Amino acid sequence: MIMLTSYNLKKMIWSKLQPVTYKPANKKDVVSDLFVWLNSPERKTYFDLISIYSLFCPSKSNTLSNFTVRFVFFDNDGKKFAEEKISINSLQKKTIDLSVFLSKSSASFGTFAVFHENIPNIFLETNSYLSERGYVSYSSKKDNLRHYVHGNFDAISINSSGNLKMLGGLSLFKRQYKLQCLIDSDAKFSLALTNPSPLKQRISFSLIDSQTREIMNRESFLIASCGCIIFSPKINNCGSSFLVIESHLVMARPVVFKEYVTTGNVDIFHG
Amino acid sequence: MPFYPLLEGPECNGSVELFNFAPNDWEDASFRERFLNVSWADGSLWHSKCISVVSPGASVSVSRNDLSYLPKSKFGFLSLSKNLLPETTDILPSINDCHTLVPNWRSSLGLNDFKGGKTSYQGEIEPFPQGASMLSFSPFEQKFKNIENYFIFINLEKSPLYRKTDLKIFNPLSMKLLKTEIITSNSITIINIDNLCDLEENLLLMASENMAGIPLYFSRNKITRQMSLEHTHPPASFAIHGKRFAVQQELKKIWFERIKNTI
Repeated sequence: MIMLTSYNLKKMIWSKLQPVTYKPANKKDVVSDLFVWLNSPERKTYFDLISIYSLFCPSKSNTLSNFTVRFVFFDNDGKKFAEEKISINSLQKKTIDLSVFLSKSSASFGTFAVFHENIPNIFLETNSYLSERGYVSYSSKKDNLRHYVHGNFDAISINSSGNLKMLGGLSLFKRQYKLQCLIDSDAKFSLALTNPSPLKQRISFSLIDSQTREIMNRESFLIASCGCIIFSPKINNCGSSFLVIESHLVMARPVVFKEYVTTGNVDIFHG
Repeated sequence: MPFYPLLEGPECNGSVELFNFAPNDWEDASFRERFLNVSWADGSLWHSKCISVVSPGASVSVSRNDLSYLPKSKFGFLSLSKNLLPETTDILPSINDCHTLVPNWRSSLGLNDFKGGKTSYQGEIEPFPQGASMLSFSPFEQKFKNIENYFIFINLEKSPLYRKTDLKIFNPLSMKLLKTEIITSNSITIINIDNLCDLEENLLLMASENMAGIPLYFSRNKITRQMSLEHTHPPASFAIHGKRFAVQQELKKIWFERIKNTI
C-alpha cells in the first residue's frame, strides 16, 4: 500500500494540478519560448531560424519554398514594441541579427517570441501544438564567435487573429529553483529570468554560502508578465555560493551569462 | 537515474560540477550523504569506483585529470548514489536516486580548453535503448574566420559492449551525403564539421538509424579561445502537449525514408 504522506500529497498536487505549461486556447495556435535578447554596444543577439514546416513536409516544401515566421519583441517590462514577419526558405537556416529590430526600444534587454505560420498536419492529428524552442546566440564586440543557447520553455502562444496567451504555470505556494552551477568569485554572473505567466511575479534570488549554508544576500524583484530581469549577484572575493530562486513560477530557470574575470572568457547556458 | 558525462573535446579536458541537492524543493525530499562514483565500460564489463562521499547539500567539482585510474581512451561518467556501486557489473548499475523532472537533476558539464577557454552546459545522460535512432538538424556551424566547429556525439547504453554503427551527415535540402563516420556505443565521438556546407544558409542533418545519443555542437575561436557548446533538442521538442512522441516518430520516419531513398 502506498503511504500517502504529506510530502507525497504535496508532490502530487504540485506536479499534476499545477503544470509547467498550460494549453493554448485553440487547436491551431502555435507556441514559442520567451527568448532573451540583449542589445548593447557590448553584446548582440541572433536567432537561427529554420522552417519547422519544411522539416515535416520536405517534399511539399520544394514547391512551397518560402515560409513566414512572425517575430514579436517585448521590452523588459513585457511591453510589445515591434513585430516583424520574416520569410525563410525550406530546409535552410537564416541567422537573424536582431539588433535591426531592437533599436525600436530604449531597453537594453527584453524578450521575444517566434511564431511559425505553417503547421504540418501531424501536429493537428496528434493534438499537439507546434513550438519554437530553438537557438539564440550572443556575440560580443571583442569576438566573432557566437555563444549558442537553446530555448527552455513553451511560454507563449498566438492565435490566428494575432492574440497572445501566456502559458507559464503558476504554483499556489512558492517554489524554489536551485541552480546547478556554483556562483563563484572567479567570474562575473548575470542571470536573465523571464516571466512566462500571465501575471506580474515577485521573484527572489538568494545566494547561499556553499560552505556555511548561510544566506549571504537576498534580493527580490517584480517581473511583468512577458518581461524579463537580469540579476547580477555580488559575492565576496574568495567565496562560492549556491543560487536559489524563489517564486510562484512552476519553473524559474534563468539563462546564465558567465564572464571569467582573468581571461574574459564567456560561458552562456540555460539553467 | 542520471549520469554525468566527463565531456571530451579537441584540446580540451572535461569536468563536472555536481550537486548533492535537488534542483527544486518539492520533488525529492532526501537530504543525505551520497557516494560520488565514476564508471566506464571496457567492452565486456562496467567498472565503477567511488571517488568520495559528498555531504548533504554540498557540491563537488571533478576534472577528468583528477581521475588517474580512469583509462585514457574510455568514456567516463559520474553519478551520485545512496549505496556503493559494485566494482564490476555486466549491466550498467541502476541508481534509483537523484530523480527529478521539473527540471531534471542536472550538473554543469564543462569543457576546459588547454589554452584557457571554458564552456559548459547543464546536462545529464541516461542510458539509451539499443537500436534507437538519432536525428539532429543543426544550425550551429559558424563559418567565420578562425572558428573551428565540431560535432560531439555521446552515447550510453546499459550493455558494456562497444557497438559500432554509421553516422551520416547530409545537406537536408539537396540530400547530398557530406560525410559518414563510425560512432561507438558507450563512447564520445568527436567529428570536425568545418566546411561541410558550401553556404552559410545550409543546415546539417546528422542521422544515425541504430544508435541514439546526445548531439552536441562545439565551436571555438582558435585565437581568442572563446567557445560555444550546445545540443539540439530531440525532435519531440517541436511539439508540446498531445502525442508529442508521435510527432517525433513521424519526423524520423520521413527522414530515414528520404535517407534510404538517397543511398
